[in-house]
Amino acid sequence: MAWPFRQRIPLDARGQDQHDASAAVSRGEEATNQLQAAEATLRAIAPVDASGLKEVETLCGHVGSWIDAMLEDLTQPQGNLNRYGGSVEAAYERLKNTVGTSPDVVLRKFWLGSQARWPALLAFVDGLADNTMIDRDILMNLQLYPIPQGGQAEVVFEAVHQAAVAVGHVSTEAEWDKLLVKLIAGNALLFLEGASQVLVLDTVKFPSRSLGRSQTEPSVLGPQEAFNEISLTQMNLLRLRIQSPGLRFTELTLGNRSLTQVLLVHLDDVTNPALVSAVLERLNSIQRDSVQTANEVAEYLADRRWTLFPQTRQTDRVEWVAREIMAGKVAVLVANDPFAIILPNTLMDFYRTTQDYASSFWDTTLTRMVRFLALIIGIYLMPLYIALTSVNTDLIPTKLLLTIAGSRAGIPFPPISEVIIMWLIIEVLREASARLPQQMATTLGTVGAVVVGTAIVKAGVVDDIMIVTVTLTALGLFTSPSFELTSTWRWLFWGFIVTAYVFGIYGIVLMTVIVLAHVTSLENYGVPYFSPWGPLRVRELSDTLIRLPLPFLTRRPLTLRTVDARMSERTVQAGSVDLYAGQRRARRR
Amino acid sequence: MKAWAAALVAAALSVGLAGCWSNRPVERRNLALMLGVGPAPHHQLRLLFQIPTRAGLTGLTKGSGSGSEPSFNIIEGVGTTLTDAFAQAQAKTTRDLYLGQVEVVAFSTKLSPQEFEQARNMFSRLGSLDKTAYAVATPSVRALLSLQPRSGELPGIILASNFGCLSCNVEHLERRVWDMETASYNRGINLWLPLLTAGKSGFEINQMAVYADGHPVLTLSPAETQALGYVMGLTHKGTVSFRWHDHLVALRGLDARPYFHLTWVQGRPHIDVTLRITGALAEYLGGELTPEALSEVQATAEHLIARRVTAVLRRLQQAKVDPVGFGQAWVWFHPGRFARLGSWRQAFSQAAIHVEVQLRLHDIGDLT
Repeated sequence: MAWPFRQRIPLDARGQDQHDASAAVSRGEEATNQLQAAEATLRAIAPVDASGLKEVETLCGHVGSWIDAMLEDLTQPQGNLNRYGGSVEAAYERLKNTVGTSPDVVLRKFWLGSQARWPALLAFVDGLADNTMIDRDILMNLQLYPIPQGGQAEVVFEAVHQAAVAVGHVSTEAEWDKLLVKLIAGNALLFLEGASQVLVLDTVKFPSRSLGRSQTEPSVLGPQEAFNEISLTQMNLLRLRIQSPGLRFTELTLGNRSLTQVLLVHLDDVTNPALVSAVLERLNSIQRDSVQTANEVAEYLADRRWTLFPQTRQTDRVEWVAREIMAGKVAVLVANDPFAIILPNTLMDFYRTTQDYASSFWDTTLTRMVRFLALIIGIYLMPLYIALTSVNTDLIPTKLLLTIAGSRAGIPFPPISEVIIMWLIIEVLREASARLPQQMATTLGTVGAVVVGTAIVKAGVVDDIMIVTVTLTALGLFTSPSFELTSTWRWLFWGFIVTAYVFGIYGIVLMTVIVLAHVTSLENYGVPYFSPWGPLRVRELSDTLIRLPLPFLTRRPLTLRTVDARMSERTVQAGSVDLYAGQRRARRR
Repeated sequence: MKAWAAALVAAALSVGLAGCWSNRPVERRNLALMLGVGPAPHHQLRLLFQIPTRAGLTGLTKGSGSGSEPSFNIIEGVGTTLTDAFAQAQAKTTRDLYLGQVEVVAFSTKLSPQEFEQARNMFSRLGSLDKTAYAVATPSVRALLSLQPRSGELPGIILASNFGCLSCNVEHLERRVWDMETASYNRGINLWLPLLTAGKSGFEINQMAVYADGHPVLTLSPAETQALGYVMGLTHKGTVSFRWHDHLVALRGLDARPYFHLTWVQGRPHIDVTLRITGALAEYLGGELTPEALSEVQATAEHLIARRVTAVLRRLQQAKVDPVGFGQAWVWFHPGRFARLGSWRQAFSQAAIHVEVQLRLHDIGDLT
């Protein structure tokens, strides 16, 4: 049976403009017909290869159909190219020749109603839309819905909107640019013949992975849950952890073409409003075609873009994001990236982890001291080795110097070259293991450490002490709990190495002063980066290198200038509880 | 852009002017651990450097002796001046002679006053020489620097460990290169150096050489050195043995805290030396040790030590040298009178010295 929709629209009853439009339509068809005739003629004349002409003919057909569809919309009473004109056939042609060229876009024309047949078109993206909802809750309901005979289009539209579709979230839209965006996002579009609006049915099915453990910030104790890539899941997870009605999600769309959903999260009754508006302003100023990762947003949010020190922290740990929001910070969730951006941060923030608060304060204090010591070793051990063996040889104890000299006897390279060789090996191994599956990465690490390390010493390229020094340095630099800081220290490490080789101990001191001066000069949304050491906030030192018991940590960081400065009350007093006091009192009575 | 350019220029200048191009890794230097200065024929000076060999260094790394190979080499240079001698020694090796880790600087007791002053002057000016090196006097520089200890360890390391250990010797005879400079500029004190000799069993450090005008005018015996060490606060593990009522008595671990008071009586200095000594009774053979007996033992020991100290001070007076620094202490309080004095050495030789010893034995039973 031929599709009768075109015949249902009386073109000749729409005035002069409509006549012009119909003339244009006939010209489009006419051009196609002429091309087909030309092709036939060519084939008849001689065995000519007319495949090129065939392609032109097909293309011309598409263009003609598209123009037809647009003119159909234009000929409606509102007469707008960007507006659905009420013709299902035109909508079909328009969609088919634009997004419909992709195989995943499904355009389904069907009869609405079991008795009176009303033309309709359902458009959705296969995979992004939930097929069960499409089949059971939309198509089946619509095909069985009893539409009265001779009903008006708007009446039918309203009946379908209110009673026929069994979808939770239904909205209406008429403008094509918005309809296309919603279609691509996974919604189903229901076009009804003669209606001025299109029903947008929320059938979005997010293709997501299950919630896993955090791979970048593992923790022995405490929650293990990590975000996945779906914004809705991220919001739900945060809602589960912060059930305060003050939790706010502000939605933005970034990326002129990717149209990525970005959410700014904060606690309304805690976070400094100036901070929220500043971050929002900066987010709104981002002009990019595409936003695919959280870092593409984070780099716009930093105050100082050229500094080596990270200013935004990215984490996929749900618990950590919730904790930071509760502390008065803001989080930015970027769709399709499990890592949330937290800001503003201080240097110390990058040394705090979930486990710090999931284990006892003794354990945390010891761990933090070890981290600090490891950092000192990682940064200074190798430069000191270079300085003391190459420049300031008179400052090293004689016995140690002779031990080093004995170890280095016969080594063809100076210490600086050894450092370069060894560090190059470490970086190559590191990069290779990061690109390999977990099982192979472990093997590679073992091979690198044992085979290469042993072989290079036996070959006499590097001395034993250098192996020990490089190993301790690498371990020290990688003890940083946040991934962002590791590259910072690695860059600075080379700065220290160069200055140590050129200026000796003086160079190390000079470099230290430069780094400290830089760190103390950094600010992030008005929060001093080096606080609570610079400027010194004695009270906040209780959660830095050491961590006091949690009942003593009652205030939010002063530098965040939160609306509510107090985080908890010290209502629970330490001491023993006398369970038998009541009985004794009763006996006395 | 200008800031970047300025930073680049500053970095380039810093690197260019830092002198890092002449930096040599430690294994490409000849690390002199001992340095000796002695006389050479024709009024020349001999400079000897003790350099650890590769076998010595790797033996140190492995924690064992170097086996059959020597653990060090001696590089020698002779010249009219020490600079010439140094240049000659440098010409004998292809590596930079590095003086930043010298542990011991030995001066021959046979150096003339001029040669000694010349050596001291050069070492005080030589920037690359480690001024914390230990300074010693020795009868034979070559014998000292050539002695290979039986343990196979490097001699410089052994000596440095010995000097640096407060409880390793009876007297803590530690002198450093900077002490020589101090003694040469301070008034009222004479330079002294430990006399280091190469014995059959190793190094012997139990004597003291006292200098005057660049020459060792007095060499004290081990007993005299120990007695003088009480006055100078250098003796920490002194011993004394004597017979008391036919009992053999030995005291050990004698450690003195010296006090002295100098007054002028009729144009002559009077020096009252008080030594508060503590120690332990090491041996007491025969008889019961009663409190009365212990008091008498202490009194006898006090008398004996006072006599020995007085004797060594008399010897110093006869030689007109004051290594203790009685005059130096006096000049701090009376610089004007000291300047008018003329010669402290002369005055010291005529001083009336009274020594009082207060001995307290704190341990009478435990011989450990």
